[in-house]
Amino acid sequence: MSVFDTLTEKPWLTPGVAGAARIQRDHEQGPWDRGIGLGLFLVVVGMIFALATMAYVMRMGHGVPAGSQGNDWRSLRLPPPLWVNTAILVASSLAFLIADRSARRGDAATMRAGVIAGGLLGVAFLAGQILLWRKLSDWGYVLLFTAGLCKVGDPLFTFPFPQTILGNPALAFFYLISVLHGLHIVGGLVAWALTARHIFAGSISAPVARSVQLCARYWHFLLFVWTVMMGLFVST
Amino acid sequence: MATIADDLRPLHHPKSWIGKYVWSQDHKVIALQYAGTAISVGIIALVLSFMMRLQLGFPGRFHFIQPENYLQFVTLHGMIMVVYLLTALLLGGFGNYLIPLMVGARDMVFPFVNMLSYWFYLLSVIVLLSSIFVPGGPTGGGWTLYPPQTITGGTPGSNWGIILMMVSLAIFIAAFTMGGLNYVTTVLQARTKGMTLMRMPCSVWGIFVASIMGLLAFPALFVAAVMTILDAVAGTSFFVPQIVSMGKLTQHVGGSPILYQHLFWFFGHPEVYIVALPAFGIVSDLISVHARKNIFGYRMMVWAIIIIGALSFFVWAHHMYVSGMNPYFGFFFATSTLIIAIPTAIKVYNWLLTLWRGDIHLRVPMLFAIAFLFTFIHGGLSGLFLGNVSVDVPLSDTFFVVGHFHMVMGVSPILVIFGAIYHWYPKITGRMWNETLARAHFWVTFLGAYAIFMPMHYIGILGVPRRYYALGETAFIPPSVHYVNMGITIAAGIVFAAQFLFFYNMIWSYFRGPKADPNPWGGASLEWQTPDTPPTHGNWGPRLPTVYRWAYDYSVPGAAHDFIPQNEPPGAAGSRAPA
Amino acid sequence: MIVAIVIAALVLGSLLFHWLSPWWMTPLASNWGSIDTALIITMWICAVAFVALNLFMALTIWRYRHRPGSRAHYEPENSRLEKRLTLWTALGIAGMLAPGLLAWNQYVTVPADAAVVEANGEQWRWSFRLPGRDGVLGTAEPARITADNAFGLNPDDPYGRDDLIVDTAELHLPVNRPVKMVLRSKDVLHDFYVPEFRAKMDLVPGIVTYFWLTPTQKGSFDILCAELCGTGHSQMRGTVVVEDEASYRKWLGDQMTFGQMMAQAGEGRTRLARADANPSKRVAR
Repeated sequence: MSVFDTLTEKPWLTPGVAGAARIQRDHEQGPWDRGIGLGLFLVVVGMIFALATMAYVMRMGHGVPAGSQGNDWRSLRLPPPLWVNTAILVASSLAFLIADRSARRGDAATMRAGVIAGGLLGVAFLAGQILLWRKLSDWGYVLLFTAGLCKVGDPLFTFPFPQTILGNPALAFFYLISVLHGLHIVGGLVAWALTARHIFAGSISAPVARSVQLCARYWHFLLFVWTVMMGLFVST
Repeated sequence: MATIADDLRPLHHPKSWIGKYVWSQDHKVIALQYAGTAISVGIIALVLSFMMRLQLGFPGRFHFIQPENYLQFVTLHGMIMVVYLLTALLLGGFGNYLIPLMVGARDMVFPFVNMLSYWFYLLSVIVLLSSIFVPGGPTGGGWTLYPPQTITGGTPGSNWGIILMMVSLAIFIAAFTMGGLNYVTTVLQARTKGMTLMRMPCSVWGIFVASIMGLLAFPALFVAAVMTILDAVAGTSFFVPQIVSMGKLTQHVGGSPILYQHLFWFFGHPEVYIVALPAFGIVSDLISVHARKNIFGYRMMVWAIIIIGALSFFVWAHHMYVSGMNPYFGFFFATSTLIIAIPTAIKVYNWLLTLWRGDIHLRVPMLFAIAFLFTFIHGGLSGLFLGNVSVDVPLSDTFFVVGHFHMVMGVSPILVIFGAIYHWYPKITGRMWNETLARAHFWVTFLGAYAIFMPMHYIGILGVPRRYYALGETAFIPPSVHYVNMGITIAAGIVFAAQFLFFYNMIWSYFRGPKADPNPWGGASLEWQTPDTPPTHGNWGPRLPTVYRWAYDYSVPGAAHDFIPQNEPPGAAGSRAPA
Repeated sequence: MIVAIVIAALVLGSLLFHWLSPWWMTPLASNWGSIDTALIITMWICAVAFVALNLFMALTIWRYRHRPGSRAHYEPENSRLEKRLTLWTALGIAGMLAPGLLAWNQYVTVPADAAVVEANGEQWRWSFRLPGRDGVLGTAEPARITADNAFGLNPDDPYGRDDLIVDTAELHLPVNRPVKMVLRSKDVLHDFYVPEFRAKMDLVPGIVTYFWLTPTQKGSFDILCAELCGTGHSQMRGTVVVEDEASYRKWLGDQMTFGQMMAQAGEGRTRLARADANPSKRVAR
């Protein structure tokens, strides 16, 4: 039954549990599948990154109109380690893909290997990102500078960074987006740790297989977000 | 045959008092926690608004209200009312309480996440209130928190205040996301047997669509909040261009203040409907139950909710007609804004047509629903002035705007909330409130609120600007405006005082009120059919109810009573003959 | 029952309030009669809807209030009625949208012969700049702002040399000549708002915004800031004086160009430097 049919039903004409009303299972409720919940959460996360992208594009075009202070946008030269990190994330997602496939086949050993490899590669990706952020600051791409607060009087915080003033907004966006992405990886690792506790119990139960599948889905999504963001940074 | 123990297995049964009432995972307790916190923080916002009125009505008379304080009151009042009171109460409070009961579930789908949602919400409130006590005080940048002024000198709270505000909002968004995921998944997954989407009461539809909208809209505020914090503390230039603040050149270059406004209103306008849609849904049910008539044009009502929800993502820049954005956007946004008036108008017609040829019991919840219709018609129509781009030019940033949005998203939803509290109080507590106090509360609140906000439209048309600490000597403002300001302040004081009737009534009745009938109004929807009143943990006793009909079988021809509960099978005594 | 009477009374009261209240649009002093017209049309359509809907509600409540034995009519929906209502609403909406959009089209189309005037906002005062004889404003940016160069003009820009600097909050405009108001802010958002002109627009730091008008009434009008700009928001006032051509010319003649200002400041500085070098003359300063 399509959404359209559902929403055009005249509910007062059809009392009873026949026909359209029979969509629900008969047994009592719960425990619930987390698939829809995860799907909705991914929509929220997707929204955050989509809006950050919109902001990036709008900020990029800002300053062009006549009489403005000129465009301060400079495109970003991303350092090579970034590609290493990206490769690690791809590998991590692949490992989860394998784990998901083997869980469905009932191949417990491969699944375990896949889940563990996927998670560890995720940790490696995060470590690589941290190295990258530090590298960028070594190169003089410094986002944070000490006179941070644009107001009269003492600044609130003093950052332990070199006082190179660099207002490259593309770099600011790179930090913003990659840190947000990193935080979502951290969240994914928490879910991964919770799942990993259950994968060693003999054969694969249905809930465990589902957990692995949802972990994999989340990981693929984060890879997708990362790819799009990289595309944005590289192409502009 | 399943036993009780088997059926309730998935539920987490609390053992101790703390487990039952503090770290509770029961949607009803969480709903009350949400409602209690939201109303408490709402009282703070109410006090703040009265302080603002004192300054406006009697400028200079109260020395403790300096311009900085005035702006801080404005900001905190607005933000608390919109986000921490209305959003939290309608979705966290009513959403939590009503969804599982109305769709026939034992609880939310993710009770633990639901509990976390409340505690995050409480944390966000604590962070928000803590900004009152930091050096510089809370931010005074207006509830829209436009940069650069929120983070530059010359605005109160531009040091710590704004950062705490943004952090608090980010935490609130996390809380909302957890709650919203629950409301949506519960409606999608946990409906009981026979509860099709089109058999759900309008309340659930309103809350359901508003939750989806919140999930899509709040990320914009989140992004804006994070970027503002970075601009304030890390020296990035997302929103702040090169400026000379207080005689000093800042190190910002090239940021776009309008970018913030786009992000803010991409959240901000759907937010209006996140508050309005649950109110629309709830008021539909109040009107239907107390007029003993099905909601007229149920399908149209549901479609209108969905269409309004979708369209509301395409109207945000009508808040920005004079913001300096590309003026050609005005054509698009004026058109989309006025188009959204059509489904909204249809809702109004259908409410009125529900009353038409009804059997209208003028009980207190119905009185509030009628008052809602009146103020909503007024506020909705004044919105057409502001949506109509060129008419907005003289009116924007005047008291007309203040009158409009208070009428349409302040007074109207709050009247619905009061009506809803009176309506479901007997189910929630098992006791009945005092009729006389409730009626007194209604009349003072309704007439007082109209007396406050109706004249504001007119002084706005005159051109009196909003967010002014004092009007001072201004040639075009006649002395009569000062008198009407005084009058508004007095009316506000009376309305403020009348709310204590409500609080007293609610608290007194909880302990001393007469025992209430489990279904005092003869409601057909599922929440009135619980085996216990108030509903106990798990809501439904041993068996989940089965739903055989929609929620609006009122005054069906041939039926014995003027309502047929949703869980009454067809063919049973009292049900109508096939059409 | 009482509530039906009260609703009807509120409708009547609102109408009386509308007719009797002393608060209405200020007398128009610019060409934006089209905005007023759009507002009046919107008002009429909305008033009809307000009165009709609320009186219908009052009547319904009165007529169908509960009495013993009464029972509601059963009618789930009426698609034809709903469609007809939708159509009427759409017509009403179109009726107010059309004049609104027409007025907006005028609003965004600046006439080619409009004279340029720049309004400058800062916390919490107004100042103005006119393009001088060449009719072109010189470039400016906040980074160049100094004590002598309050507008941040580029001294090397030849267009800026003859710009007239009006460093007070009083602006003069000639009557019946279109003006393009160009708006700049040094610090935060402001909004140039003269109620009698109807038109307004935000000043946004970092970009230049604009709107246009033709003053049609001579007189002196308040300039307010209509976008929250900090503690002094309500004190950010100015005056715009609309006058005939001759008085306007005279006022223009009294203003100083940027070039003259820089020369004066330069002279002052040289004198200062000389005085510093020669302490005996310091008293003369």
